[in-house]
Formats: sequence, structure tokens, C-alpha cells
Amino acid sequence: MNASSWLKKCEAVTRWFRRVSTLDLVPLLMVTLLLVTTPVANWLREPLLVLLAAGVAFRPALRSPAYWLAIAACCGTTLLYTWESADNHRYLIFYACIAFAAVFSLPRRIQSSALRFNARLLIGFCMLLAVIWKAINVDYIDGTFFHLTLLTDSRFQHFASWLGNLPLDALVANRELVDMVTNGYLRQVDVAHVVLVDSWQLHTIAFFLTWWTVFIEGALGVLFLLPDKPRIAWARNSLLILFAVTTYSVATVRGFGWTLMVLGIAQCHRQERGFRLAYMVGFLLIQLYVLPWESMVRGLSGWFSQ
Amino acid sequence: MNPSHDPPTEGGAPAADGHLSATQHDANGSHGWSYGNATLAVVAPALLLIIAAGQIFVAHHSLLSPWKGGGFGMFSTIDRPHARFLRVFLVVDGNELPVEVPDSLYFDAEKLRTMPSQARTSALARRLSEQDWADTHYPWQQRAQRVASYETDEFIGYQVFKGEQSVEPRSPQRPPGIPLDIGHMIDPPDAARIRIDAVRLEVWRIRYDTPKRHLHREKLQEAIHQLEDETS
Repeated sequence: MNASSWLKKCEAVTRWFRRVSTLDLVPLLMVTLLLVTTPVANWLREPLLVLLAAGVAFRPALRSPAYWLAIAACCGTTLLYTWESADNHRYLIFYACIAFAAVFSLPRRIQSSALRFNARLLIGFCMLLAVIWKAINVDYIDGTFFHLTLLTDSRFQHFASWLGNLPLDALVANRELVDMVTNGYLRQVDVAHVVLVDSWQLHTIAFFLTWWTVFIEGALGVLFLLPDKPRIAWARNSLLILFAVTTYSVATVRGFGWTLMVLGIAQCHRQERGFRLAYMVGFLLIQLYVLPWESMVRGLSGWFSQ
Repeated sequence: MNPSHDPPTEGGAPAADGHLSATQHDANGSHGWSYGNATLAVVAPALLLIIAAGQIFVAHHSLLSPWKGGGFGMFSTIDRPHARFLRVFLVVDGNELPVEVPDSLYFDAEKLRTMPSQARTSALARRLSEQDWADTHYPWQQRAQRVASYETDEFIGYQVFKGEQSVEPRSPQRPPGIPLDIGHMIDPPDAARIRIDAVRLEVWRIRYDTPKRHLHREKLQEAIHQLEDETS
């Protein structure tokens, strides 16, 4: 396949994306999300996969309330069994499925506005609750959460090392110290407390991250719950895309990021094609973030050095 | 309630049948938002709020981690399930031998870490006492006597086949002073089987004192399950 035929294919996809109705696009994206992030080790996994595959193969089903009720029943039952350990995006996906079932049982004329309304409330409440939890936890407000995360979470190590003026070895040592407190007893090294390697720069970064997160999540919560006006819509869409692009580059929680992007598309107006496309790019970017870049680069460099 | 300021432009024309009330509402300028429709449209957000309120209540009245339970408290505290850990000790002839939780009990351990309670801790201690515990060094010694080199794939494969947690090659001779290698095994040979008297299980969480850079642990629960003497 040459470059011009690739370009033609890309143009066709873009044309389809611009034309496709939100009521067709959003359920399809949700089914894709569920197919990729189906909960494992569950007796409902197979029936759910069959339902999802049926939805992809037979698209009119995606506009059926019965279909979404069945999907919601599978997700809800899974949650019932794992309620205390399930990730929060599993709950959000369940609510979205309930919302789809409700929306598609409404008169067709009001389905779009009902979908936008549901998506806005789901994002708004989710963000507001995230801020409430942060506000009532002392170890978040005093900066301890981000400080310890920067010191001991391997996902943050390059960020912490670069901005916090700490060598990567020191951060590896911190993780070993934590491991000694938690698992040392297995190796006859029973350590009850340790002192972590730290730097004053990390205090500053932790302080910034603490209040930036409160600001952006709080602003998103308020903006998504405010009445639907064009200026507010512009602000909330821009902020949610900024949130996704920045947050999920570090906290690689693909399921939550994707769910937010799907709900973001769901609450877009017909004329907000640019934002719809931006959410779609965000959806793909979140997938790019979770690719094992470090091992890929290491593998490639090893291959070239041979 | 009118959930949108927009005129309904997407999704096609109103259905010809079955939605008469909606069309009538349209004629009155309310875009088809009857009381029933509006109620249906808020079911999902209302469910979110109800479950989140329940989670906040439960998290404040139990040891449920704020990260879990559907209240959207992720990234709000260091007290996440992964910052909680279990310590398991087998009591054998008055000595306590540290062991890991077997993979087969992973989900029970995860639930316990997420929401510890005395009942759950006791239940997991009982299940741990029902496992087959063995000296994982034993089969290694047996095999070592029969083949020339102990660092062969056959050895490692044998250990994996027997369900041991560690597949690292180890010395066939146990160094003096090192306690028994105890691990969970599937169907261990009788000679390697460890007869335990009790299981002690502890649930801990990590705490951090930022000004002092001091990371320490805090015990949340503890349970001891005594095995009844089979001979009595």
C-alpha cells in the first residue's frame, strides 16, 4: 500500500468521524473500551464478551436499551462481587451503561440532549467527589501523598529525579527501604521504620502537584455541573483535555482516562467537532502513554548495537 | 428540569408512535422533557451519588481504603491497598516461621488489604492454616542427589511443576543457621510436609512523617488460628 492510498484511507476515516452521530460513536467507543479492559477471572467474562462482540457485529443493537441493560447487569454483578476492591473507573463504566440504557429508552428526539446531560453530570460528580476526598484527607492536604509518591513510586521516578535533583539510584534505594519494612520479615530483616532519601526540591514539586490537582479537578467538577452555555462548554472541554493529556502521562490509568474521554465526546454538541476530535486524540494518546517505551527503546538500542 | 439549552437537532425525527406525550410537550416548548423522561435521565448520576455517599460513610466507619469502593477517592491518601501489607507466620513447635501468602489466596488477601476487619483476618488465617505447607528445600535435596549438576533446566522445571513460589536455583546443601525454607506447595511429598500448630496473620499499613522523612508501619489487625490436635 503506497502513501497516497494511506492518505485516502485517513481522509475517509476523518470524514466518517466528522459525519458520525454521537449516538452511534459513543456506544461503539464504550464497547471497544469494555472489550479491551474486560475484568478478568470472573464467571461473567464470557457472556459479557459475547454481548460486546454482538454489539460490534450488529450495530443497531448499540441503540437498544435492552442491550445496555444487559451490559450494565454484567458490569453491576461483577461490581457486586468485588465492590471493595474494584477500581473507580469500573463504577464509572457501570453508570455510563445505565445512562445509555436510560437514554435509548427515551424518545429519539431528546436522546442526544439526554446523553450530553448524563455525561456532564457523571464527569462533574466524579471530579467533585475526587476533590472532596482530597479535601478531607489530612495526608493529602499537607502534601504527604504526593511527596511519598514522588519518593517511592516507580512511575514517577524519572519525573522526580529530573525535577527533584535526586539520582535514580536514590529513588531505587527508597523503594528497597519500603520493601524492607513490608517484606523484610521474609528475609529475617525485620525493620519497623526507615528514613527515606529526600530533597527540598521534591517538597516544592509535591506542594505544586497537590494544589494543581485540587484546582483542576475542582474546576472540572464545577464547570461540568454548571448550566450548558457555549463559553462554559469551551472552558470545560479545554480543561478536561488538558487534564487527560497531563495527568495520564504520569498516572497511567488507561481505563479511567478512556472512560473520561468517551464521556467527554458524549457531552459534546453536534457543532463542537474540534473538541470531539481532540477527545479522540486524547483517547489514542492515553494508549500511547501506557506502551512500554523504556523497554522498547532498550530493545531497539540493543538491536542497533549488534 | 430541562437538561439542555439546545434544541433537539440530533438523533433523527421524533418517533411516530409510542412517544406521543413527548411530541405534545414539544408543542409546548419543553422539548419532550416530561416528568417521567427527566426521572429516567437522572438515574445514572443519582446512582453515582448514592453509592459514593455510601462509600464515604463506610470508609469513615471501617478500615475501607478511600481509594476503593466507588467513592472516587483515588490519589487522595497514602493509605491505598498497595500500601497495606500482610505478614504471615506459621507456628511450628513454638517457633514462628515467616511465609508469603500463596497465589491461590491472592484475591482474599487483596480484599483483606482493601477493607480489613477482624472477621476477614480470622477467616484468611483459617484458610492459610488449611494450605499444604512444606520445606521447599526438600525436593531440591532429593533431586540433587540424583543428577550431576543442580543448575539444569530440569531442576527449575521441577520446582515450577511442583508449584513452588521461587524458581531460583539454590544450593543443595542448606547453610548452617538458616531456617527452613517454608512455602506453599501443591501435593508435597510427606517427608517435606510441615505440621503446623497455628497461623498468625497481621495486617499493616504504611505511614509517612514528611518533616522527619520517617516511613513506618502501623498494625491494623491481627488474628491467630490454632489447629486442633488431630491425635487428641
